[in-house]
Amino acid sequence: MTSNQQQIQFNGEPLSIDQTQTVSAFLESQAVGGRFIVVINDEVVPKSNWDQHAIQAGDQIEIMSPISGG
Amino acid sequence: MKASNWTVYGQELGSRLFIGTALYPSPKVMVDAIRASRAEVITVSLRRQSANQAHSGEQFWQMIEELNCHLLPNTAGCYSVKEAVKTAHMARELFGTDWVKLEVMGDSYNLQPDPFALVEATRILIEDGFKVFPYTTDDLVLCQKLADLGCEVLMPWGAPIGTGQGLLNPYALKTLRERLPELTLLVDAGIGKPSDAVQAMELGFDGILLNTAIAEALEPETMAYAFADAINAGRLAYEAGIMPKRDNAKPSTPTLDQPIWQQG
Repeated sequence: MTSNQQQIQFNGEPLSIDQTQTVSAFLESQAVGGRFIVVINDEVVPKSNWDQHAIQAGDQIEIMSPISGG
Repeated sequence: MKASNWTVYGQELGSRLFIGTALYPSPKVMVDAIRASRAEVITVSLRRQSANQAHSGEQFWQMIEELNCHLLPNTAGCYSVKEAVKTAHMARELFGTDWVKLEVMGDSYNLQPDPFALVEATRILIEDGFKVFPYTTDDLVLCQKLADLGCEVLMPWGAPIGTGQGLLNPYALKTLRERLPELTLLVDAGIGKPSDAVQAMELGFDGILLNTAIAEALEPETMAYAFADAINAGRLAYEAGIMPKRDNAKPSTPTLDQPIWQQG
């Protein structure tokens, strides 16, 4: 890991990403698509905040999607 | 003839069937069955994407959008207040609705709701602005507590989820209907066949939520038609007023003016 990298957890897996990334940039880099929401450290990050919210080292980022349910 | 419309948290509905979207043999079978059921409310859920599935859920989302139904997200799989509240908040953001089918399980063997956690989670979610549809046991006092917290809708079980055993305790369900006349009541879980749904509707329940009985039928689309008709029939019977049971026979053919040789 280079000095301008930071370690996070993405959907339960460790991942090294660039520092000073917003949620929007991160989603684009990971090609996340479809209907989903972003949860960081158990808190929903509203879509309206994706351009401002900076990812921090150690963040646990989860992408939640619709599935069938009874 | 169609039974009367009804209102759920201010939303007028025609169909009295809520239908689940799980367990169907294929997406097409699911869509065909839901359309056949004429349901206007479908239950859905949410899960974390796995690392190699960046677009999972997209096909499912497109299908449920085309169905144009109201969405009722659930908190399936939650065993604590914290998990259920967190899942409800995520569901509100994901599905864009403040409706939530609140499930807080207390036992993994029969999927029985934890009544204490259910009450606490309901209290928190109502404070947070949710319209809560609690999946509950048929315990009268628990249901009264949930109503006192502000639930307009309660969904007691008929039997444990997925068992298809029908109404295991009709007395308890009848008691709920009699003691909570202002509440909207749906039987959720345990319905196995259309006659189970008829029985619940004849007791005065406002609707039925089911999934497995349709999804695991040999022909889900046909079974969906059967349930739609059964629920309508049961409601019509309730609205028409069911005759009381009697211990003694009562002739249905008038005996007045019978021929003289038949009169005792």
